[in-house]
Amino acid sequence: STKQVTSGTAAVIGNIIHDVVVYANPSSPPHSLVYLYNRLQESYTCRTAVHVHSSVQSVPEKLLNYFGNGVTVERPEAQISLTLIWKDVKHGPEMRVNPSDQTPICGEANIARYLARLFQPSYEADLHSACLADHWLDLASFSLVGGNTKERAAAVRSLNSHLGKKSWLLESTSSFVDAVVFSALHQAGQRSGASGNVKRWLQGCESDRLFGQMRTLLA
Amino acid sequence: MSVSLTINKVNPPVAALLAIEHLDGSVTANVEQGKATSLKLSDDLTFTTPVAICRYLARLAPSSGLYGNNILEATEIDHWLEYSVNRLGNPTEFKDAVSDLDHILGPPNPSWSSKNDSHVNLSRWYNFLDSQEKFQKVSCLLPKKEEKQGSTK
Repeated sequence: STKQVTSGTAAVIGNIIHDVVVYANPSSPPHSLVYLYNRLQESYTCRTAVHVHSSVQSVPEKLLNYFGNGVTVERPEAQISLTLIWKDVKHGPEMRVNPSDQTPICGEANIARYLARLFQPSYEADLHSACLADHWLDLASFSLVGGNTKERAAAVRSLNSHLGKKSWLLESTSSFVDAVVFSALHQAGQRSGASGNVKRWLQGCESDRLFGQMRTLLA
Repeated sequence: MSVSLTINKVNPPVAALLAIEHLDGSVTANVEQGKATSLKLSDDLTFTTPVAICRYLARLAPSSGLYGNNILEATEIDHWLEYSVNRLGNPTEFKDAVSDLDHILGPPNPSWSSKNDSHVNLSRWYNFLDSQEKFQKVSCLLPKKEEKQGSTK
């Protein structure tokens, strides 16, 4: 794979290492994080770490190697440090960037928004494309994760109809929005019953390079 | 730039009306009465939820600062939008969500446990907002409740 380092990234995060810590419950892994990490790597030198909090008895081996066993970067060389801590959190995954001056960011879609603002600030530069991204991200967090049975079913129907015309939710390639909706479908238990266009799209996600070893994680 | 928001007078989108009050001069919004909440942009793009309308208005008028001034602030705003729907908007979560909110609005690292049912921090914050001119303006538009609800309700 080619590694493109976009210019101007230092303007976003500055010259000191940018620490991002995500707490997630191992019973519902935030699968979009793998995709987000792979996208971050296109613009930044990243290191990852995975820990287990004492509130969790044990986690499967595959969750300890969540980001794969790629090249490890030492902390002094890294621009971004992404730490994943498996913890018994109650209201979805939480992210902390600046622990002294910030309430935790809750919800996978919001963690994705923050990381996308780091690697693809252009996603919200254009009003129309930002609104489209928000439409699917809100569908993921409000209807699929937070919604009731009826709202979930309506969300899946809406996805199925949209994916009849398109291969991916936003553009001609996968985006972080696909990753968030993919993860939300799993958490909502809507994956096994998926049919038609949604099923085809789920399979497309699993074989997309940026989703990494998703098949192994889901097995 | 001008937009038209349709509201139902019986169940008005409070957040969207507050967002309109906080827009800078670059955007004018007309509020019309109709069957249901909607903000129509084109034949294939209409927003119907208060959150979607708020996001759109905040993006439309960036200098009004409604979406914060940096990427962390913007994401904190996204966090609170989700909190309002998935926690405060969920009847089974509501009580817990209100307690959490009271805790967050309290002093950092309090030396006593501030988790109780009186919600003093939340009341103070709510009353502060409620006394602001722009919030008062929106309050006048809301349908009258039989009895004024408790401020943390």
